Amino acid sequence: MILTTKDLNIAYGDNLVVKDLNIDIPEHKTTIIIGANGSGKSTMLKTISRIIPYQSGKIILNGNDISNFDTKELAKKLSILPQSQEIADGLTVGELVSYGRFPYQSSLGRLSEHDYQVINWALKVTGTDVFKYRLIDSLSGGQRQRVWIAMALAQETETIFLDEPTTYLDLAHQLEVLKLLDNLNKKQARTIVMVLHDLNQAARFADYIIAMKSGKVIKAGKPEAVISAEVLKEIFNIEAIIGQDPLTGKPMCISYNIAEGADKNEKEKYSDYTNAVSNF
Amino acid sequence: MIDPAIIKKQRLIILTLFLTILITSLLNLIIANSTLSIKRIIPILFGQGTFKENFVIFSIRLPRIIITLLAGMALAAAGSILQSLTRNDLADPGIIGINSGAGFAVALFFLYFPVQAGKFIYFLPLAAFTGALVTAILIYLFSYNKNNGFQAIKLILIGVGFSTALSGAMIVLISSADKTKVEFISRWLAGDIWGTDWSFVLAILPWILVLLPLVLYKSNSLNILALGNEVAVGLGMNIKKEQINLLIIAVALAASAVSITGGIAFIGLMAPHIAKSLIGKRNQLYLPVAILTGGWLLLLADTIGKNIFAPQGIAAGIMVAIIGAPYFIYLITVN
Repeated sequence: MILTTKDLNIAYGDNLVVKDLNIDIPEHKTTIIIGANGSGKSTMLKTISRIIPYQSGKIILNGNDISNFDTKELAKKLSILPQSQEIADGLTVGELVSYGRFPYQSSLGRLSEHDYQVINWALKVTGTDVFKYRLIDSLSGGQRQRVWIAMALAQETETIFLDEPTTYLDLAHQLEVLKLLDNLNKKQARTIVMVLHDLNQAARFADYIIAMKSGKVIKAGKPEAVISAEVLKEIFNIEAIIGQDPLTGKPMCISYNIAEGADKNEKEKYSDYTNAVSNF
Repeated sequence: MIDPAIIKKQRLIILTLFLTILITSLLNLIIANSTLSIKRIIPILFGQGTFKENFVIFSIRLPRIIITLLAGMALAAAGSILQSLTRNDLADPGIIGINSGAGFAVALFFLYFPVQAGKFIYFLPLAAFTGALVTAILIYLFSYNKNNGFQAIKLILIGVGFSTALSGAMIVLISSADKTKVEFISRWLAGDIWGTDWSFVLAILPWILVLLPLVLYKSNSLNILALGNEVAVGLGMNIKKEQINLLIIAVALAASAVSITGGIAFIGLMAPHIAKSLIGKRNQLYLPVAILTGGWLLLLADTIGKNIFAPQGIAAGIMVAIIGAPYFIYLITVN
């Protein structure tokens, strides 16, 4: 385990969003977190990367409590790509990627020979080296996302967190980003942790899936164990038909409906209404 | 990682600004009530002037030019930092109450703490800094929210409120003071660059020499802060510490400038904006341009105010406001 949380509690004001969370992130694997809106996925990711403070519990990275890390030291071990970035207008691709070297720089901000090597490598791996001098604002959504990933890569961390890296991208670009991350995981042995909404993409690319609901882990394990009708009903309240992806052999959600429970309530309401009408 | 062509462009802009400042300084020396001919300037500068010429140039005009330039540069740098911190182009030390805080402290110091006349000027920047810092801390605390952290737009609104309140407090102070002292304070309020001999240059210079390089040194931090809090934290930046450090630098710059020149607003607003539209938003490129632009703008305002509207003259602060206020309104409509 590269990262574990112990009884982690996270609150916004008085509102407890994540309750007694215990998760284990395996090293050199791709872990994908799924869950309904408001289930605390992003909150958890942001807390571990210290964007949001936590109330109680422990976060252990490589055997050390992260509260003992200096923030720059932590940034050398763990990088995070937030869900929505500020529009980095007026910056070139190369510049943005070079900021990934910030944790390694003295405050003077001079880039060393090694810094340049890492930056060029990150640009190359993500296929963004061809537009090194172009402005970020002139790129398409998919290209821009690759640039941000390049910045996270330039941080040279063992672990990379990504909060919904495929949002706002079309299908081809989504796959492109996920394949890039998959490659990084397989070839560079990086530990990837990301939040995804698409269950089939999660099943396809994850070694380990964590399914969350209301700030708690419902199920965690291999895709085959998590992507099941039972689990999906519990976390999303859907009736899912699970099949096998003909391309990858992984489980996939072929189709789904809103679960009976929700429907029943609707029907009861409706029958109450019709009864009331007939009685009248 | 910056396109070499852009760096070249920046060098060119900086060179142009240097020349413009030089020309404006010469104009400032030449256009004057006691007329000096253009031909005399060079000999005088090389030590061949008469006693009267030397006195006018070296003891009156030159220190004033230098003070004006330094103060304009400091205000521009302070404005640049504040705009980055608040992510808002409308931030300016004059608009968000830092100048008023400095002014209030200067007035208080002037009225109630009798210091020897000679040493007085060296204590002024310190008094101004204290007043400005207390104001800035209060504004920061009021715009800080436990759950959401530091809120930029709130900082501006609260700052404007503070600015108004402090101006009111100044009036109370003035109304209880005696007449000769009131005159000084009202000149200060108008931004009438009142400190004009070499001792004032010495009073402000150490502040500028320490703080301006510090601002340039912070370029990278400012760039990263501009990417948003989440990205900045992810890159290992201690945001709260960095914000407070930058705020203190901005306050010290603005306070040291206005303690000598009086309340001057809008330089910190216009200079960064002009610089950004010339060369883009990268701090390492636009900061030097903004700083030089600020120095030039204030020098220009003072040259026009003092010499064109001679003999009485218009205070530089008012000249700046005449140009700055419409610019401010333009920025509001654009934003």
